Amino acid sequence: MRGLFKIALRNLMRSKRRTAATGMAIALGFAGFLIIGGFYERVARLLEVYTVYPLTSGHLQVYRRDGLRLAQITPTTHALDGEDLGIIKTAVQQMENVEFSGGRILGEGFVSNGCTMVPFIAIATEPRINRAIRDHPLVKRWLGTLMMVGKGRDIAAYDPVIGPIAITPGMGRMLSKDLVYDQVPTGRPLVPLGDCQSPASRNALALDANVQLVAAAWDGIFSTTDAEIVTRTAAGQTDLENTLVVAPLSLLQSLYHTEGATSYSVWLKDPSKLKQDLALLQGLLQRTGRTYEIFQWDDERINPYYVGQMKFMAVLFTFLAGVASLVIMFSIFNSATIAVIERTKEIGMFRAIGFRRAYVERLFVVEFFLLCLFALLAGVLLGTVGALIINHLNLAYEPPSIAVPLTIVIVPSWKSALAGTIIITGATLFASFSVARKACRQQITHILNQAHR
Amino acid sequence: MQKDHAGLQPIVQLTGVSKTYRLGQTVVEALRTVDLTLARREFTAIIGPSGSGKSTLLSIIGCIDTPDRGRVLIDNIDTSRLSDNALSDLRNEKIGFIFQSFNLVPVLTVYENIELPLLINDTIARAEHHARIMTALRDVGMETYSTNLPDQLSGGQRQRVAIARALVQSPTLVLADEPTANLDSVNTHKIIDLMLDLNQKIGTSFLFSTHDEKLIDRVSRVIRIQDGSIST
Ligand SMILES: Nc1ncnc2c1ncn2[C@@H]1O[C@H](COP(=O)(O)OP(=O)(O)OP(=O)(O)O)[C@@H](O)[C@H]1O
Ligand SMILES: [Mg+2]
Repeated sequence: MRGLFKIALRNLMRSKRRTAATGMAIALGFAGFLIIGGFYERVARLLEVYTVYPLTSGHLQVYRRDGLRLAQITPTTHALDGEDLGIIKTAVQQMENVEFSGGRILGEGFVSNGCTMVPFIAIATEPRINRAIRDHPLVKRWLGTLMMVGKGRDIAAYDPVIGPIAITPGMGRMLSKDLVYDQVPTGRPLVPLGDCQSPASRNALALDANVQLVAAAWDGIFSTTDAEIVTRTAAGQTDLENTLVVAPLSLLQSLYHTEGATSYSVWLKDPSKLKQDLALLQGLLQRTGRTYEIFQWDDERINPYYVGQMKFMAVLFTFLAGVASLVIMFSIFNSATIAVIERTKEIGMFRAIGFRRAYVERLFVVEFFLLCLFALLAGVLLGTVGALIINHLNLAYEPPSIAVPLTIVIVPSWKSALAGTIIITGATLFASFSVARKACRQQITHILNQAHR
Repeated sequence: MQKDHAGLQPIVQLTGVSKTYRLGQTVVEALRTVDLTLARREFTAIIGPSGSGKSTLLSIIGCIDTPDRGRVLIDNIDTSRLSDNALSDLRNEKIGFIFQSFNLVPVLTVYENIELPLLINDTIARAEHHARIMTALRDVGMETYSTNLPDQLSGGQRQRVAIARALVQSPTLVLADEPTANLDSVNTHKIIDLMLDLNQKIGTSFLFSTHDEKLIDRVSRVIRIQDGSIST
């Protein structure tokens, strides 16, 4: 082995231009890998945090048996009732890794301003959970301004008695409700709407933040309740842009005439123990005598949007990484082939004076391995600089089916760095070995003579 | 078993060695049933016209090519039974090569070029390497050039370095295929003198090929080769 590295290094220095060109190809490829990987990491984390926290999916979701499918259709038999919520709460209290938890209603209905009605899909949890989510470090870190409410304060800041709700800007426009609760002067008398077609009624609509929610309650009776728009919420995804309503659990419970909920969400302190906690909760709930179903947050059945997006991202990332690897492999093949042709005579001489095939092969492999190593280091530098520049530019883009523009942020991820290192190093070793091996398999006299011509 | 005058095993024994090349329709018999024995310490020249089979013969003796028929014994070892790795080791330990075009590694210094055969030689202790390289350098009169790169040397100097490289691991046999073909007549004689000197001094056998008839009187043994057949 002695001398191998010396010879390899000297050979790299021998053809500086080719070494630089090949090294640059590897470095750029790796930098691209890091940047694409960093972007993937950013979007993956964003989608994960968005799904688990603001969408209130939690890390684990408990349903009554078949509740996922039937809770909204036949809530009396398939949604959780008040007793269920108590049972699950008691079970969850025995788990150490739980950060917070609570019932969640996913419901439908109409919002009315007195003149127009628009359909809504509402998500409701207890205000303390809304607060915990709003203040959660992960939400602050990964969603930042994305989830920031426009005007007013979030629903958790208000007394549930007034029926505080958050609606999307789209719904606000449809309902001609510009103001939020805090902007309406207290004690202003309500203005009668009169004829809904007249301009006067339009103006009257815009004077307050008051709406009515209408829905079929779980007992089958039509039900309505007053609500105050206290703030705006970003829907986060296009299909909810005009329909999302976020409300306190108690408000929707009274709207749907229930003490229960659609499901029960559990947020973990350490999500890496998801599997253990799932098993633990399953065990705890089994002992209650009632049958529940528990889903993980990344289960396609409860969060199809997240899973679909991630699949798309993974395909895209794999494709780009594959192209980068191929380009790198070809440039190494190319460079190694030229090196072998240039040094054919030398290979013949090495073999003649007693170097074994494997040793000569190693000479080339080590040479390209060293080149790869330097290039990877350069690639890390390039990638870091590239990421800093991109992050600094604050490039905004609107990804498909995400309603708000995202800034492109590259989040360095050791996983993609590791994957890139393994793939690129593997490609280097393979390419240099196969080229050198081909040369070394030839008759020694053949190699020596070839060089004379 | 044949023995030479010193009562030692010969270093090379070829029996019935043939080598044929086929290029499409034409068949070239490069060697025709060659029998040859080389004794230790012998200084031998192979002389023959171009295309007579000199290089082919040297390649087969040097174990970098294999005969189609016949047996090759190097230091009494039947080379046909050896694996590629074993042949490599045999070449490294027993045979030194000098090439017509020197074949020095351009990125290595004179010292490092001479060191090459030692890098893969397990039979010589590492502590000995420096002394051996310096001795080889002195033997060829190149001790002041140890840190030079090959392209800073003249052709004659490069061939001296190549000779030092061929001798550094004390092989029993040195093979040189037209070592002087790329040199002028002054350098040619200097290189032949040097090889003769070293043959006397360290007792290594030399076998070199040439088509230069003027060199005949300087060697102890001449093998003539014509159309793949030899006459001693
Ligand atoms: N690889 C090969 N393929 C085909 N024919 C070959 C090959 N190598 C040698 N020959 C033929 O074998 C014969 C002997 O060749 P060889 O190289 O041994 O001659 P030589 O005596 O060394 O000639 P020179 O003095 O020109 O170097 C020649 O006719 C040559 O054309
Ligand atoms: Mg020849």
